[in-house]
Amino acid sequence: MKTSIKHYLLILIAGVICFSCETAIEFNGDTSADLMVLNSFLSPDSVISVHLSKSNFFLDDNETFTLINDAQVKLFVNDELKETLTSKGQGIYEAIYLPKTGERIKLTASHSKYGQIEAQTLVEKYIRISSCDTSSVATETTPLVNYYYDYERQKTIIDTVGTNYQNNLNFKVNIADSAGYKNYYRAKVYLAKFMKNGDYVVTTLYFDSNDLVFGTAKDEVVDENSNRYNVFNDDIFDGKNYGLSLSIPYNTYAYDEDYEIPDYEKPDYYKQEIIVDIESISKSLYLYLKTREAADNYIEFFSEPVQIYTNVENGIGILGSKTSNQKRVTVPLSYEIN
Amino acid sequence: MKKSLILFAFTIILTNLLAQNHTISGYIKDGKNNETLINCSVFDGINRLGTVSNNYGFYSITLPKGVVDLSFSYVGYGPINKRFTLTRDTIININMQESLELQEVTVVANHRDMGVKGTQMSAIDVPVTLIKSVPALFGETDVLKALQLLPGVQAGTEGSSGFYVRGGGPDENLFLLDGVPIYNVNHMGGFFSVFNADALKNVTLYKGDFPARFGGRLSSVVDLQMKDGNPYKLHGNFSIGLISSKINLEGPLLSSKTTFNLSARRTYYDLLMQPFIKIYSKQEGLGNNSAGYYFYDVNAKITHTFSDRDKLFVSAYMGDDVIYANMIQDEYESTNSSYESRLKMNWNWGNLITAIRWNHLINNKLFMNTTGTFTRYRFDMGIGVTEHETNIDPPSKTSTNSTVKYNSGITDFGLKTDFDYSLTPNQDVKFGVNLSNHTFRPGVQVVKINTVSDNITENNDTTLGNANIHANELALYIEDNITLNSIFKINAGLHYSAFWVQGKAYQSLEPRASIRAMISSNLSAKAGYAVMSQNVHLLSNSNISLPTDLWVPVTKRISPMKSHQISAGLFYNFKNFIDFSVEGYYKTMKNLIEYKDGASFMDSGTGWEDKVSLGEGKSYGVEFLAQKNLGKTTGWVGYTLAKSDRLFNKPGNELNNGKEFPAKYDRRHDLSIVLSHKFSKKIDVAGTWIYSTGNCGSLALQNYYAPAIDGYNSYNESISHLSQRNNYRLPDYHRLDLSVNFHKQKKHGTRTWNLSVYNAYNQKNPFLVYVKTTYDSQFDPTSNTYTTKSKKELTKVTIFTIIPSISYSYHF
Repeated sequence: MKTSIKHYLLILIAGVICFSCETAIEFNGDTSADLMVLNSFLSPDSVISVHLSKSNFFLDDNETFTLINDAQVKLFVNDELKETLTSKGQGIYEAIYLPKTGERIKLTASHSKYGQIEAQTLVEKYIRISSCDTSSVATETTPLVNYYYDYERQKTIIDTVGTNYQNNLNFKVNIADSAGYKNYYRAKVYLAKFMKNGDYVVTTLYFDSNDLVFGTAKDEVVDENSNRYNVFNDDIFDGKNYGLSLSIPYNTYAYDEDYEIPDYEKPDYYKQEIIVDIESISKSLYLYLKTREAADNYIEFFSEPVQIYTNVENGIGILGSKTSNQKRVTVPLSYEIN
Repeated sequence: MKKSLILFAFTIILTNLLAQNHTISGYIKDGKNNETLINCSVFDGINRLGTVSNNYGFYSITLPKGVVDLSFSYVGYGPINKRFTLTRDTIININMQESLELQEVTVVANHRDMGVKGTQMSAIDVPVTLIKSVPALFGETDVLKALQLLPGVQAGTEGSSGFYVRGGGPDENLFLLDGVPIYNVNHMGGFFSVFNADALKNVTLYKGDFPARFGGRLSSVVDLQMKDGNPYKLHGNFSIGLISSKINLEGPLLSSKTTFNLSARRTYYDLLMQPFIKIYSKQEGLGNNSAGYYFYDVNAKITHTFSDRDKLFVSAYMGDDVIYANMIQDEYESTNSSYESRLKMNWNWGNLITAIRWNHLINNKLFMNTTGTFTRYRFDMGIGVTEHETNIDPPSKTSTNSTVKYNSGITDFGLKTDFDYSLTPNQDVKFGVNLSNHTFRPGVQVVKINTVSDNITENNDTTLGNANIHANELALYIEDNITLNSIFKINAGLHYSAFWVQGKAYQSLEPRASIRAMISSNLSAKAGYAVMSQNVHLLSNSNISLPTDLWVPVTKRISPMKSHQISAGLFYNFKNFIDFSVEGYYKTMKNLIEYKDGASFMDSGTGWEDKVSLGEGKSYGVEFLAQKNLGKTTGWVGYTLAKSDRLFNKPGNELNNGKEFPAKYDRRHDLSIVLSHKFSKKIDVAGTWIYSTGNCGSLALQNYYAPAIDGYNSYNESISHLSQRNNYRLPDYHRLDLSVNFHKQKKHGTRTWNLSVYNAYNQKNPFLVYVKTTYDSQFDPTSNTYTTKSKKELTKVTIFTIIPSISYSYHF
């Protein structure tokens, strides 16, 4: 029901198009040559990995992309040549040098067929997360119901075995923004489980936020994926401390005394933590993610076309950087977080 | 310099005031049906001074005492001359008679105020007779589509009544129906306009060089006047067409002092479809189903003449588009369970406008018009799904009622007073004040879900959307039409507007000026300058008009749009036979809004400020028009050479990486040829041929590999590279429309059969272009496998191929 307006408008347009006729036409625009594509996301003190491939003309029937393994990729740090990257196959090139925060990284890639492309970015600095406060709010209570089939009575039995409490775990993440510099961020939340069998499992959590930093453009009935990459900037808190609000839904259960909890419903971990990661990201990565998000939400005929951001000169793709800033919060075992 | 100008103006005024002058005034009407004639020329051949009648047919001319030789002329009507000695203020009401020699004439831009002798440029008067003669889609006469054939006006997509004037956007046009703004001018997604030509008397389009009395939009003003009604006898006509039927009645109401004019039309495709839907539903065992779409509109006007000094008009327009459905979506039945899902849908959108107007002649020099207005556009949508599910084991019964209601719109109340003052023989002054109160309803959605499951009831009731936004607007204007001498004539004016919204006031002072220089008796040069501002925006994503399109006001963050336009042109009349004009313009615009990449406004205005960017635009071009007004063959050829660009490069507002890009409806060439020929009283034919450069579109020309986004994998490994906004031009557009009318005089009136062909040579013009991928699977017996090959083709979608139509009408 949530998407019904979109649904019926699309039916309306489809109705118009049904009465229309289609004709294949020649493309008479300026045909652009295939371009070299560079993709790389840098992090401080991590290996630089660059992916090179070739773009396809939009009417090309081939839907797979040709990887480029025979290019010469060079790394410049603060405009000084550091090294030539090594091809690892599959279009991947790696450097030995580990970038540091504050460094300006430039990558060039040369190829006999596609010429030379280049891109540069700044490795963003760490920021301080001074605190991460939590609070819990109950949102809904529903009965826990078990269904089973009674063969003797030949009917399905419905049995209430307890109560399910749905709650929101609210976070106030206090970040210290640096003044006089446009900062870009990306919020991520992970769930880390310390398993009884010794494993350590980290999964990405989806979270809600009504924080102003994510903008007010929320078409809640249509754009369910609004700001799916959770990027924001410091427009409203430049140089100040800011408490970012995030919220994660979780469940708790209260079983009836006579209900015996089956083993498969018991937790197989002995500790769980929420990891809140406020990444400092480069402007290029911010713009790239914003445009990727816009492209993800694109609705044919109803949306403006999207130009995916690129900072690769003479080619396309993205060179961005991200610097992780994490805070960990231990949560009770009784919280079932999905 | 400034002092000299003031002294000069003062001297002219004083000289005129001190002379012994008298005023001649009155109303100019059509002698046959008593309709007032707008912009009718009044010219004194002795003093070489003239004026034109205003929107209510009133004229006032002040002349020196002595002999005057007044001529009243209006193309298509025989001229009337009055030669007499002027000794005191005089009232002369004129009843113009259609000329037997000229009655076959169709006319465009005929009026003296806009022709060679007037100061007004970039404006065209389009008689309704001409609009009716233009061949139309499905034979449905359309005012806006007729205006699209004029130079400087561009249509939107194929078949739509989209209106783009001199590089402006679709929301930059002010449509005034009897002086009341009308917001949604489209029926059926823009394929038809809301204006019923049967109800109209006069249509004037201003493309630039706006008189100071108009304000509120950047690009054009379309001023439509409804007919008052015949005071002598009941007249009317009805017509039956392929998609709609219309009726128009006019006549006296109780006495000749009170007249009425009533027009109504309704499409009936939905009524014709109902029996087929019922038969189909019965055959398929689907129960009672009904669905359909229709639109209707009603225009009504009552005019009461108290005296020559006082007249009262009450006019109204109401029109709606309606989509309805009541049908089974899904159902099944088994031994253990049954399920039925039924959809109910009701969408209504349309305008309601009313106006009450009082014309009062304060004295023979000062005419006052006071109007109270109400205009409302609303879109009310309701969709409901009812589901019933019954299960025998385990026994359960669930009923769910889900409804989504969406309401949006805009409501205005207004009060305005306009004055026409004939100050001196050389000066006519217009001034007035306009107050408006706007209420914007930017989209409220109410979602209700009611579930009854085994006697347990659960209700969810969610309301989303913004609160109403209220705004107040004040406009003041003064314009002065000054005849300096036989060569130079000036129209200078000032328009002031103030707009209060969300605790913020936006003010705008807009100078307007135009000058005419007579080079010879039939050749003049004109130039004009106009500043315009606009306080409302229309949020719309698609290329066709949708009911979800939303009017929103400027806000604290979004400032009013503003334009500056300069224009200049030459106007030549060849032996009262053909008029030629060439006009050039250059327009700059700022605070334009464009939607950000990926922005969509399909059903909500929530947070719209975050979805738009503010930028600048410029457009410039040259328009040529040659029109033949007299004779059995009439028509015009119009050509426009134009360019329109946008630049959004302010930090945070960058579009197209901050580089200039073509506007959505930038078109280099636009040519239209409109011809009609009257063979006899029984047969006339008309044809139009249109050629234009294709519309702009955005087409990504490269696809490339995109890495997954860590943590939130988008699953898209291919993204499209769009090098520039509006980087692709659709194929050129051209079309020929033809129509023939067969008239026959009957006992009580005239019947007309109209045969028309839209797109006569079946040109497949593009409505949109997209990349179509087809897959072909072939079985390989050697490997015993299927191989699938894909093929991509650039595909154009054409909506309207050749469409013949027929209609019958009877005029009595």
